[in-house]
Amino acid sequence: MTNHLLSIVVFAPLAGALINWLVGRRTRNETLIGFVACGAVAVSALAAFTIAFTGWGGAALTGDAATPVMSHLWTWIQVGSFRADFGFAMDRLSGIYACFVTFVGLLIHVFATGYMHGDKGFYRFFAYLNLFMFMMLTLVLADNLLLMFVGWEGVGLCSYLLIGYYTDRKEAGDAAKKAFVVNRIGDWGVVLGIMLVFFLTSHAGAPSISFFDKTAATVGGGDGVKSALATIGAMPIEAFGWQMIFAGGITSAAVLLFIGATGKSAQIPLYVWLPDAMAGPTPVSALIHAATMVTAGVYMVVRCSAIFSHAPTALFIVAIIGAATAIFAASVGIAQNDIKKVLAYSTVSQLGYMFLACGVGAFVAAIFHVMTHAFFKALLFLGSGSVIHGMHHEQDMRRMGGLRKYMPVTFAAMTVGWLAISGFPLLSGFFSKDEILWKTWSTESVGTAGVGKFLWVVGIVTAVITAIYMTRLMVMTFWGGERFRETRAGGEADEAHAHAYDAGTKPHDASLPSAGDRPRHEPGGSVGAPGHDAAAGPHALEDEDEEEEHHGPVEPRESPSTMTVPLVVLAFLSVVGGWVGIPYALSGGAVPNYFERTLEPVVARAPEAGAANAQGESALQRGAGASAQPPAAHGNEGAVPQSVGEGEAGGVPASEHAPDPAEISRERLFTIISVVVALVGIGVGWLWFQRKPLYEMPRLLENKYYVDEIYDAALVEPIKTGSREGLWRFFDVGVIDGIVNGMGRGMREIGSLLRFLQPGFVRSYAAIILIGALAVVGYFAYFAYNAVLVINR
Amino acid sequence: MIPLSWYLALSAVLFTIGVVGVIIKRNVISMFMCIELMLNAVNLTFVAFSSYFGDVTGQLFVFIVMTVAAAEAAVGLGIVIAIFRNRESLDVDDASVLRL
Amino acid sequence: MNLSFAIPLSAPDVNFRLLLPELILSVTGVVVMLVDAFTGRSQRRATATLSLAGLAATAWATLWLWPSAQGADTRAWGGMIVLDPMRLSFTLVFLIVAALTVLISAIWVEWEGLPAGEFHTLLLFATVGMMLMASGNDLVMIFLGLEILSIATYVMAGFRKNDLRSNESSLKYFILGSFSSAFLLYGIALVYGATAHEVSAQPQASGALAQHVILAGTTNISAIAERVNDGLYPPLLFAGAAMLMIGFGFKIASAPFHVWTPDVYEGAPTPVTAFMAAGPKAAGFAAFMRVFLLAFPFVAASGQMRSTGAQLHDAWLGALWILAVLTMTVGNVVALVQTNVKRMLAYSSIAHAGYALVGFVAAGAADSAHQTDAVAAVVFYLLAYAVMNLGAFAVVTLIARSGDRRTDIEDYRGIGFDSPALSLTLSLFLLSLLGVPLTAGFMGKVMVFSQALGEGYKWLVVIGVLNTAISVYYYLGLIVVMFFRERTTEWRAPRIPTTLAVVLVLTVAGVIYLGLFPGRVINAFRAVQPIAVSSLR
Repeated sequence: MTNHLLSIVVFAPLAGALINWLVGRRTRNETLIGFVACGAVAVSALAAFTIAFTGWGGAALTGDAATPVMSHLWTWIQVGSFRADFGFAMDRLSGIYACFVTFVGLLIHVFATGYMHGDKGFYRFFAYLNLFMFMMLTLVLADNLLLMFVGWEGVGLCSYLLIGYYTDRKEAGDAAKKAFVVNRIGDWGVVLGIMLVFFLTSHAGAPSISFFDKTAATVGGGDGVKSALATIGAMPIEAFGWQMIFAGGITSAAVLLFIGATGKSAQIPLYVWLPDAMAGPTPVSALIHAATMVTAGVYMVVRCSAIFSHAPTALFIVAIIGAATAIFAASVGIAQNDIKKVLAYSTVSQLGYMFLACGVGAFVAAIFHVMTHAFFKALLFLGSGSVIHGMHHEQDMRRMGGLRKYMPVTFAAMTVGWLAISGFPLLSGFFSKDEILWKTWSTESVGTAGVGKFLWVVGIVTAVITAIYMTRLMVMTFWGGERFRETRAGGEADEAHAHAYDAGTKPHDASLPSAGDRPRHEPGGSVGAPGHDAAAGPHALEDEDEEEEHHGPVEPRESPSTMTVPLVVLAFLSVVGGWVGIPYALSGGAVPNYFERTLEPVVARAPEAGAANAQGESALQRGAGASAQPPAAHGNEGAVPQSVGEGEAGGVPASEHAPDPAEISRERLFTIISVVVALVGIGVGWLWFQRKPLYEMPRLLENKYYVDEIYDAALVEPIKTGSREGLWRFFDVGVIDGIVNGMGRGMREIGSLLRFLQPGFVRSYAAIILIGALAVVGYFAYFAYNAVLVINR
Repeated sequence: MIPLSWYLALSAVLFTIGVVGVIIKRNVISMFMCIELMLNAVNLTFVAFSSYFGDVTGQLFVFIVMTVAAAEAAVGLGIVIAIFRNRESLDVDDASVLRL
Repeated sequence: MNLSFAIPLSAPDVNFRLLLPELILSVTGVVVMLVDAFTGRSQRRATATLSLAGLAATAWATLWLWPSAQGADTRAWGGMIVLDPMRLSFTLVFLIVAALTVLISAIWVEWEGLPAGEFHTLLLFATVGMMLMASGNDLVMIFLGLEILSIATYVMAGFRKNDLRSNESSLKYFILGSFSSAFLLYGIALVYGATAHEVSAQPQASGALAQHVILAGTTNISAIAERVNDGLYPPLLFAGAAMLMIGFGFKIASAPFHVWTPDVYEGAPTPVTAFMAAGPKAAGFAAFMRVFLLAFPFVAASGQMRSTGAQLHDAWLGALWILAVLTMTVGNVVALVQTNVKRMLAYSSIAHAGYALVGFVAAGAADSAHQTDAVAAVVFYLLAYAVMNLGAFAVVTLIARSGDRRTDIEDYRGIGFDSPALSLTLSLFLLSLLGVPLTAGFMGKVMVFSQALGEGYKWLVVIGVLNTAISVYYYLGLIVVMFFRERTTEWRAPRIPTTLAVVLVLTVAGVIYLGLFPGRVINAFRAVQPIAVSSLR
């Protein structure tokens, strides 16, 4: 059905961004700016929830028929058979995304009004943040691949603007540039993937890059558009083998798209930008680099599940990369001392989990983890932001400790986040992580069936490490001695600086060590009233008074309620967020697995080994069609959805079948293993770091396996040098001048009359043109020779 | 009668002399004359074809080319004068401020 | 050998209607020259206004001709001029470039105290040359157009007479330009000879008497296409095509014939650089595409798979593929290490010629139905490039000040927040050049690459997309310098004069319009296909 409310979901943040840029820039009134920014996102959230849940809006999430709600604005491009619309659509997948993006986004906006209070670029920050929301919603709600790519690039651009928000800090600018460049390296994969999808569908006779079937009525005339995903979903599944990657078929398309995903979602080898991106303000880290943008890669893979499920090789690659990233990033995270760096590597690691889930065909589990991760990781980031704020912009955990006395609300909220990410039973992270691990163990997908057990071990080890490093973070921050009173590790200079800075006598200087994420107050200048809105509650006014003397005392202190209220809400969600997706094995059917039931019709299922319908010479087999019952051996495969392609209301969801009791008991056993693992991790971390909070980590880990250095040495420098010394010299001056020079010398040596033969630039250019001309003439001469041969024959 | 290929070979040789001249001459005026030589080699080609075919259009093109060459000469000498005023040198190799 | 020069006088088949745009603009040029000659130096505004009016009238005439591009009456001057959508769409691009250049140069002419009237006259004549290159259906007409354009631009490049850099730019452009024109001309001569065929007893359009004529060559593009397979001297045809490719390759600055570009662009006054990067390059493409697509099409001879025409088609398509790859790669890679903004944009313009060549390759490989789409994609690309490039150079002009003093990337350090309007618009243009979605540059790349993919040029597209990934580095580098670096020298944000403000508003609107709603423009460009081979006589 059509509902133009969708446009409001997308464009409200854009309007907010424009108002803040045009009006906010002049007034600099923080209340107004904060209100506009939060209001715009609130409107967007309201509209998104209306469409998702109410019958009037179209009930994109709760309706019986899994048909998307569409809104066609205009036909963007139509050249030949290539067509892309400017249109939005919300189906169940994008519905879930739109809801949590707008809601978590709203909370983070509110938090940011407190966090950024007093910053010189307040209006700019919120304009960027709103612009980001616009782009993210475009990405999620786009109804075709090209418009999705618009959002994809757009969020990259906003991420760039926001990482580099502190323009007076060199590392911020460098990090921003790094993020953008690395992302662009991934983006060429997306562009080529989109083109290959178009190419494939053209060959199938239905050229399209649309996600959904669109009727002539929806698109306003013409012939309507057929879904590219459905077209590809109807093709045979490709064989499993490395040669398929370069075969130019579905596997190639999937791999190309995944290259883009590794860039945006920070997977090996393109993850390097995300830890550096922590140079941005903390709310940005929470919103963009934890909860929303970085999961865009997962979104794309799940959205294109019809493509990936037809490419077992690609699924295998996704699973391996995901697992490798998960364990790699976790092991780096354990050795970081910067609180935000720990969380950054934790994010990379958790994203690895999500791709692992995609790779083993558990697309639903991946999205489930995206959602719970958005809650607890946003919580942890905002919590760390609150800590950094309370510590006067100190980010080094070695200079924290014992903060639980000073920041009780932050401490309580972060405890919830810590337990959730560690997989403590009944919290949100527990359900989603457990589901991923179980699906990994029990995978029947062609690509990963052989390595499922191994990937499971990797996942379990990662889970232990995750619990350990999160415990370390909590212990170093909230327990132990109050190390911020000591002056060590260069802290003196920094603290002295911070005091002078706080007292307004010294301008902010970025070059000092451990310059934290520090909003730029104008020294001595008066700042506007801190922004607050309805969500801040009645305490907002009290906080205002406190804000004035905010930077006076040495003691760390609790943050204002604009910051703590979002923390509490997110903590609540981190607890209950997982309850919508309790697996059958745990609930015994008492609580339906809402999440799985909702998503099932819109994602494709991975091909399974052992099912009927053999394909080609390999052991590759195709999963039973939408109408057939899954074989009994896979009765538990409820999470592997049945239908391929979009908009089909699949058969009865498998989760409602009573699964095999043996499988249930095995799944329960694995749940117990997960619980034990989480508790062991927490216990080990607690016992170790409680005693030695400042334990020196192995240098290899602390230096992130020297990956940045290796990249610099292996890629960046050679390209620069090659460009400087190679191509440019060759084409512009070097070689040609050398030849002209050499000729001249030779001539002089034989006492030639041509003694005026000297290097000269115009003449070198003419020589280059001549060489090119000779090459072209020679090339043509070869063909002329052939032509003459043909004629003479 | 002299065969067509002789004319074509002669004009190709003249053209090549012009090309080599542009590359090895340093004096702007000399380079300029070499370019004129290239154009006239082409004119010879046109005339040779025209005469051999008995088709007059080729000779008409020669007039057009000569007109263009004259215009080019006028502009070229203007540029040479401008550069000579500023630099007092006709050596093209002195004109290398622009490079990296 | 009997040659008769007694040509009977007959009324020439001129068809003035089709020549209207060129005629209007030539007359405007002459009028501007006279006004300048007789009113003295204070008439800067008058000549600018007159030029703009002339360009507007020409644009009107072009739009007026648009509907008749599909009709039967599409030939003027005995087939030397044609009317087709390719000509008209290119003409429109040239007019936009010329008009924006007039506006950009207004402030510069004032700063430098230069003779505005002369500049405008030269600009208008250069534009006429470009239009003739797009409309010529005869190699000689295209050569004339190219020379009219080139001679005017040689002078424009050296317009700041007392500046050594400007002199040098002009000298280099002149020497290398004439050098390559000679190649082009040689190519024309060889093609003329190679297409010789026996003529029957009917008198020719050229008017030669029939009874003495044994053979006749041709320079008419449509006629060449008909004789590709049965010319008398096939090897000469190949040599001629190669020479033509060299000449046009120089004009569009494709590697390895690009070597003049950085020096000339850096040394020429900034508004002239803006014009040269957008206008003559597009004109080069117009002529290049018309000659190779229409004169050397894929023609299979009866019974032979590898006819001369097919071989020739293979040859130039293959060469063009290599040129495209080289051009993109050299342009982007060398741009990485530049320290001067104009020089960086020069290499960027080389890279963009490479992207447009990708579309040209697709057009070459396409059958006639798809060729229209591919040609339209290339024209759209060049239009998008012209708009964003002129916008970028407008900002560069303003920041450079008189004498082009501040054109190093270092001069852009930290100007971001002191002059938000300038730096944000420049960032928009750079992002568009980079190909960020919702901008004209993105749309152009999508069009061109999708056409190439449609013809099966996977690797060409892969190389193109990889090249855009490389280009991030230097475009973004400039943005980073503007916004994330501290300023080290004193810098006063310039006041934006009205004419430049108009340019910036127009180009920003153009970049966004072409990025959001490319449909109308592209449909207008592909209204009908270029005059097909068979439609001649």
